[in-house]
Amino acid sequence: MKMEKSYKNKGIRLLFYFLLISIGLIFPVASFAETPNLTARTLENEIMNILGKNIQCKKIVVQIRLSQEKPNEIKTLAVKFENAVIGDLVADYITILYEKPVIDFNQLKKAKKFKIISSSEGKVGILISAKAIERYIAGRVKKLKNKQARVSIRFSPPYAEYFFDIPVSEIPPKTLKLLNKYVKGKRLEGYTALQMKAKDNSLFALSSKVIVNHFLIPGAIRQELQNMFNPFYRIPVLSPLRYSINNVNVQNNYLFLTN
Amino acid sequence: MFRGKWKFLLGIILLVMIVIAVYVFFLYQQGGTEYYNPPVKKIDDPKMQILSDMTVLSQTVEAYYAKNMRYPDKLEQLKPEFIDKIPLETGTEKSFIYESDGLDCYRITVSQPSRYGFKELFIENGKIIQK
Repeated sequence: MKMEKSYKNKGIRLLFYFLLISIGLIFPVASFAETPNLTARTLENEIMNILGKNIQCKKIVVQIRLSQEKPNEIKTLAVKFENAVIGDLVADYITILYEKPVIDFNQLKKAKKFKIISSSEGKVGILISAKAIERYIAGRVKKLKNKQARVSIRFSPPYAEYFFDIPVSEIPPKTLKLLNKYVKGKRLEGYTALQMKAKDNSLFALSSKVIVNHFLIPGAIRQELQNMFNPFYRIPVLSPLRYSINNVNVQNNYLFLTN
Repeated sequence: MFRGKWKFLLGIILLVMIVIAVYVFFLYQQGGTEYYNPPVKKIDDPKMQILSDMTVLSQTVEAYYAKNMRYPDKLEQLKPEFIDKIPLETGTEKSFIYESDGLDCYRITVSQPSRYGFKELFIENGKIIQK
């Protein structure tokens, strides 16, 4: 009897161990199936398609590099947009780099939404060419009553130079009041050398020199004009990406904005 | 008595008018198209100059990344699109030491940091390190 009992107990124990082992084996497989199988290429394509639906641009490139130590972990995720529309401007290139990003895979798979839950560090770089700014100004000029305005830009690091020839009728009354002494005819023609600053996605222009209708504008008036116009542009954030522009510098061919 | 005072007052008014006229002439003279150029900034301190040059180079490397999604293998690749001329180390006129894995890491180092009062001076991935 005792023997029989002990055999029964052994059988139950064996069954219990078998169950435990099988649970242990099944669960990791199940949880692995829950986390996405990280094939960089498929994930890149998926993110690219989702962003393509939300962001107006000519081309999107997504680059994912997986961690060598943990193959299921993303080391870096870089997204580049070419000719991306940010507000009224078209940026030549926007590149966003996330280090060790944690992507919300549920949202990505089910809702087809791209969302980064967290990342250790991020870099944003926006390149805007002089031509892109001129196109933006041309667009503004089209909206004017008197379309005889000419504005051109040249980048001379660390300055951005603006050459303008605008009908007086298109100048806001407040500005005109300040420049009253320098208005001779019906046009405001001149030059300005600007240095740029950025803070919390806003762009500021600091004028180092302003010439209007052959007159060098004194510092005090320059300062007042500066206060009147700044910030001169608010940089919209491309949804669903998150970034804050706090740095800008003028380069040979581009205005380079970074976080 | 009064004549003297009037003369003095007229003299002052004349002087003020002359000063204003000279100032207006100066503003007018400085407003010609030949003056359509930005002010020239000069940095006399070599320490400030080297820091400024390194920062400019680093920003240019970052701009290259923004376009190409990789860092340049050598600084010459930045020319002419991002920079006209690669700056050299002030005083020694040596090239900055540039290292990069091409993908996600770069470093710009000064060959003789002691010359500028540093033990170590470099920029790594956009962050300036000075000891």
